Amino acid sequence: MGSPYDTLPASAFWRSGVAEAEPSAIKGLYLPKFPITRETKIMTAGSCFAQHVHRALVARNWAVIDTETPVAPIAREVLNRFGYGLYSARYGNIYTARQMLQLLREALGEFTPAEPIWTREGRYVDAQRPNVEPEGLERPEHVRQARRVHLRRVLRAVKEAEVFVFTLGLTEVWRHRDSGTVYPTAPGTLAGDYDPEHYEFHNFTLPELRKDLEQLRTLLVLLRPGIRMVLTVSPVPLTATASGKHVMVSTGYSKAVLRAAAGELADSYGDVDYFPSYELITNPAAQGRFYKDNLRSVTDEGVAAAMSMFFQAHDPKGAAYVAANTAAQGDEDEDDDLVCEEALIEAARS
Amino acid sequence: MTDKRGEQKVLIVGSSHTGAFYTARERIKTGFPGLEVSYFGMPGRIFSEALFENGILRAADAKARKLAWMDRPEIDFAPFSLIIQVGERFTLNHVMRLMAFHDVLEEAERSGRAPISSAALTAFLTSMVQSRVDHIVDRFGADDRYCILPAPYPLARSTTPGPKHEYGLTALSQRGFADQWMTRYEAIITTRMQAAGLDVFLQPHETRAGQFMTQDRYARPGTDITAPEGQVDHRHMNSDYGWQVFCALAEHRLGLTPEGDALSTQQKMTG
Repeated sequence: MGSPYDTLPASAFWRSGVAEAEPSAIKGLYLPKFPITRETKIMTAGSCFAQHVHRALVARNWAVIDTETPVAPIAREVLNRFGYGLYSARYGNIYTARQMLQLLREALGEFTPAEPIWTREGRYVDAQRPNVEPEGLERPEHVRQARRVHLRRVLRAVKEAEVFVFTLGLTEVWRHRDSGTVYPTAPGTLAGDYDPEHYEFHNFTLPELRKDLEQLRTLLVLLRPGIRMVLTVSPVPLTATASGKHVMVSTGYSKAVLRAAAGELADSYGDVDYFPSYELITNPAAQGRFYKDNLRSVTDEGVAAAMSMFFQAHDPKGAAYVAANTAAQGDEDEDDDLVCEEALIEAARS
Repeated sequence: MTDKRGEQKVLIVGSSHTGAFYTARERIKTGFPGLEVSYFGMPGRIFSEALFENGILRAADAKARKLAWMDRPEIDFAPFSLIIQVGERFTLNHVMRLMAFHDVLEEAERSGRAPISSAALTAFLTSMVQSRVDHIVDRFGADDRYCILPAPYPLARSTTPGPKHEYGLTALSQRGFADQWMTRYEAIITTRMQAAGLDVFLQPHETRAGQFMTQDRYARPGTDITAPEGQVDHRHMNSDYGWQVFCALAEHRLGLTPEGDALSTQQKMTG
């Protein structure tokens, strides 16, 4: 009688599956539950690592939903500075499952955030997405008007989506004491004022996160029957912790909870999958090469490795397809060719 | 640069919008005897793809349609003291749509369209203009002999439904803040071009119908909506336009005004 491990593949063993494997191309790390094609309508959201996912999908001309970005030849960094082109709607980074859930409930009219408008140097910002207007807005009603339309666009994105890709970023959050409203940043950081009477720190537990993810899934399916979820965990460590513990301990807790919750949800539902970009980036065999010098930000190589894993699984011939189908796009600002020539021919006759 | 007769050599080069100037060539010749003006125009896409190497512009495709008045397949910029580049649109269509199909938060008017902040709109306009400025500099360099003349705004009649209807322009013309924002757009063009070391000459106001349309009297004959399909054209102007703009540009850049009969024509045009 042999061991039950005798017949297992190389991917089941650390030495052959990790230590001896090329960190940027580990076989069998991602085995999708369901296919995603370039025609699949994908909605993206999550912490800052999710921006890389969105950008990579857009770069490959996948059907990534974007309900708010103007279609114009505007430099990406300029769009991004105002929160456009980062995700499927202009919600900025969504670090926690609670924040995503809260956003959808607000869009449905089931929830009204407390203290929705913060100030910064005499200007007004949307407390739920304080980065989208770097200079803030002139009047509070401008924030409200912009948010009303934004919420409609969020719902439109969900209703169009066939797959929702969500990157879990944090368990630590700042919330309004009375209402439980959560915010993407601590008051007083980018805007607003920190008043301990009104705001409190909270670190989500695994059961809380599991419950939020369950409710998020339920709501998404209600809004868009048949929608599937792909969960990822951001490999980016915490910038700072308010937990009172060392930031490395807090990062470990946060990532462990996020990873466990994502795994449990994926194991529980056929329409939820887990994409292991976290494992690929944090792989010890990479010896930190997927992190920049600050040991937080993911390098371009790391992002490319993660997205290569995604595309290899879903679209192995994609690179060839993109190369063959990236014809020069017509510039709609050009004058009509036929009319152009007519004008010149007429000039010749004159 | 001048030739042995003391004439300044001027080149008008660019897209199909060079046609308006070419059709005015006799008046330009009469009105500005001290100028020797050459013309080199190509349809927009062919001009966009034309190669510029060592000061010589030539069509990328040797088979590109040759026009009767294009008596040469390439043009050397070296002999000219003034090179007027015609037809740059500075992403006008995108600009108009961006303005027309958003509600600017800081403006009073509301249409129910997506809101955009003044800061974002200004940044977007700047980005789009800058991309064209960078393109010009990358392609031709920042030569102080150049004067960039944007393509004329579409004719006012283009807002009437029918063939070649300018939908974005029509929508924009109905927005109360359009004039103010088009003025900002033009200021951005001027500022960004100056920063790049390039001269730009915006469409003279006397040729415009409002802030961002051209008067219908500059339409080429037989191009209104009653013309056969494919000949309707609200974007390319006639010789009067070429003459009018050349006069304005000559004064701006060379300090010259037209002489003789041409002068009276010019005075009549400007009324």
